[in-house]
Amino acid sequence: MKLDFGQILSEAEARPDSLAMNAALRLLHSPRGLQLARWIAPLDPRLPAHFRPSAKFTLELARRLYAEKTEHVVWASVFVPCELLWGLGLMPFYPEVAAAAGAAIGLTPRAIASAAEAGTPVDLCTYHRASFGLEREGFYPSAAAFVSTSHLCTLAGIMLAAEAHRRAKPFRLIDVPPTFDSDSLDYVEAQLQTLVSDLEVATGARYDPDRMREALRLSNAARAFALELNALRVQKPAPLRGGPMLTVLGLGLWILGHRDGVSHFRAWRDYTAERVERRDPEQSNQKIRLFWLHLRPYGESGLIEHLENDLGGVIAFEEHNTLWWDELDEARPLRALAAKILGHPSNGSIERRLAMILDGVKRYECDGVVHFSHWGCRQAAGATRVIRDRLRREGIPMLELDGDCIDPANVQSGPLRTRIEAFVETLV
Amino acid sequence: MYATGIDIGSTSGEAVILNGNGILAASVVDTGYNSRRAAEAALEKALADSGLKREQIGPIVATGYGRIAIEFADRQVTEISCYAKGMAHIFPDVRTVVDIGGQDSKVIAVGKNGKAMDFAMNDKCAAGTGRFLEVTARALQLGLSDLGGISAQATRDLAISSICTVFAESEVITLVAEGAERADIVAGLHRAIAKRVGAMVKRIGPNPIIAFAGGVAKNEGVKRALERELGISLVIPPEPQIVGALGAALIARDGEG
Ligand code: SF4
Repeated sequence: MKLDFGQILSEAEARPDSLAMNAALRLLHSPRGLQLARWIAPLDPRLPAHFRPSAKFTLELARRLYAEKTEHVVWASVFVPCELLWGLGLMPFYPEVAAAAGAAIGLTPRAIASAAEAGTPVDLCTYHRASFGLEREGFYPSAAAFVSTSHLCTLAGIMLAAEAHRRAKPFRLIDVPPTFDSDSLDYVEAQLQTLVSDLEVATGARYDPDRMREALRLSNAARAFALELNALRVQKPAPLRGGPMLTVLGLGLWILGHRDGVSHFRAWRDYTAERVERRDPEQSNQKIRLFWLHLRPYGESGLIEHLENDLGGVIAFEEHNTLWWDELDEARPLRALAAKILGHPSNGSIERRLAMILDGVKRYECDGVVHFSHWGCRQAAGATRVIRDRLRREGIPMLELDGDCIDPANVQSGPLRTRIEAFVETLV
Repeated sequence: MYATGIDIGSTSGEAVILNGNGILAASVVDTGYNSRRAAEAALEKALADSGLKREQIGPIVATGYGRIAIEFADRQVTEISCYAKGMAHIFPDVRTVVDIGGQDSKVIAVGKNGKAMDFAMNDKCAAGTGRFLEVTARALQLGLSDLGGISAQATRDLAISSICTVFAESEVITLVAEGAERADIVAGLHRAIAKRVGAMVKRIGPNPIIAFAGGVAKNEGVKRALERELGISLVIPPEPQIVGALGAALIARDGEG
């Protein structure tokens, strides 16, 4: 498809809401445009150095997903470790992360409307509704296979299975038990072995032990930088704002095991270290430190910006930036990845998530905790009562915010602002 | 300096001018469609009552959902903090405040110094708020102020099962069509609100002394239903509507929050 910005602009005049959608769609389906953007964007002097590796990765990924070897694309739910797919020479595509990116650039209202036109029930999580709409509108790449895990997000498996069925492609579910012991490890590892064979058949990829080991080595190298980055965030004042960290975290689910993952986390580590050394935090006014649970609204709600810019509340750390897994054993890659899957703090007993939260609050010396409950997400919001009670016993205040990460129409800015302002007032 | 508080809610706006520790003047106006104009009107009315001129009043704190529109205020503070502060001034021993406003309801845990310690607010919709009563009163062709008295005449327990204001309205219309007594329906509505707000009180952790503020506190029926739900008597200030504005004025006076 040829990029014609003149035509895009004149269409936008007629239908202003379609500007972002059309421009994005045309760019995605223009291999030349993406190639050009992939070279030019990271050189743009306005782009800070710590965003360059991720910009390069994203544009290159888009080019490859849409233009090159589409038979190597595998759709996966967010809890399928990307190292496995990179290690097989495949290209992971995470519909939920892509939906968040779509929300950030204003694509989701139309995508959600499109899903509604097709009869998608409104009480489903909007990550999946928007994904369905974005797919329907031609935003998502084709795929050779679909993979999900059974833990945490049950909806992901159902939606991916339905999509696989519609496209007559194979779907595989990794069944994840709620316990983390050697039986569970054997069980998940065996499933990963079968999955590898199935993906070989579906995509034509070949399992190469050296390539898989390399993916794990790259993941470990990135993890080491991420650990250093997280350690730097302990500092007071907090060197980084949490808002952007909540936005970039989706990338961490996609980039590990890829060489750009190492440069991405190294760049963030360097940037943070420099801020700490210069005693120059991103946010100068820091009255209270918060630990943020679950996700954030990605559209323009102004909620987090209001918290960080106007109220002096800094998000010192985020639940989902916790690195819960040990260094991956490169000698036994599938077992290591099985351990990564099983060890997720939200898998199994709530005690695991609680321990992670309490550790985080203590380590980052937070004054309070905010849980942003995303509409339709049972796995995150289902536990808030228990979390709140435990935190209360520990004397840690918690605020629960109800909203939607993906659908701006389901985010009520006024009431959310009142709640977050009142919470800050109770803490100062 | 006469510290001043202005509270602009969804249905009414209030202003309080303090003279030291006492209330010099207070006013209540309808919010209408323009929060800023309502704030001006409330302030003008309070000024007229006090005999003061605008230049004579000191710091102004704005609160309520319309607070961001009140640009002439020196500061904006949420109604959570203001209700806690205002109620602690009136009843120093109170540790829980219930406020049922036009478009939201809240329960606030109050610390010894009148500081809000924790709070719960109704979910996104109008269930359990003054709007719920307003809509259903309209369906019964009653005025809001009639509800309290009528519910006292109820003779049987009618359950209103819908928590959604829109569905509750249709439920009320159906009950009327089925010949149910208005008094029983109104008492059912009060119980529905009390259940919802009662759940928020339990979530915050009930205390032996609970104060009830906001316009709905004037409704005897809701008060009775809530007392039954919680199993305790509620304390209500003589002017439950001005508690937020009073708290705002106190915060303006003390320069805190
Ligand atoms: S937000 Fe919750 S329901 Fe939605 S995709 Fe994520 S885990 Fe699944």
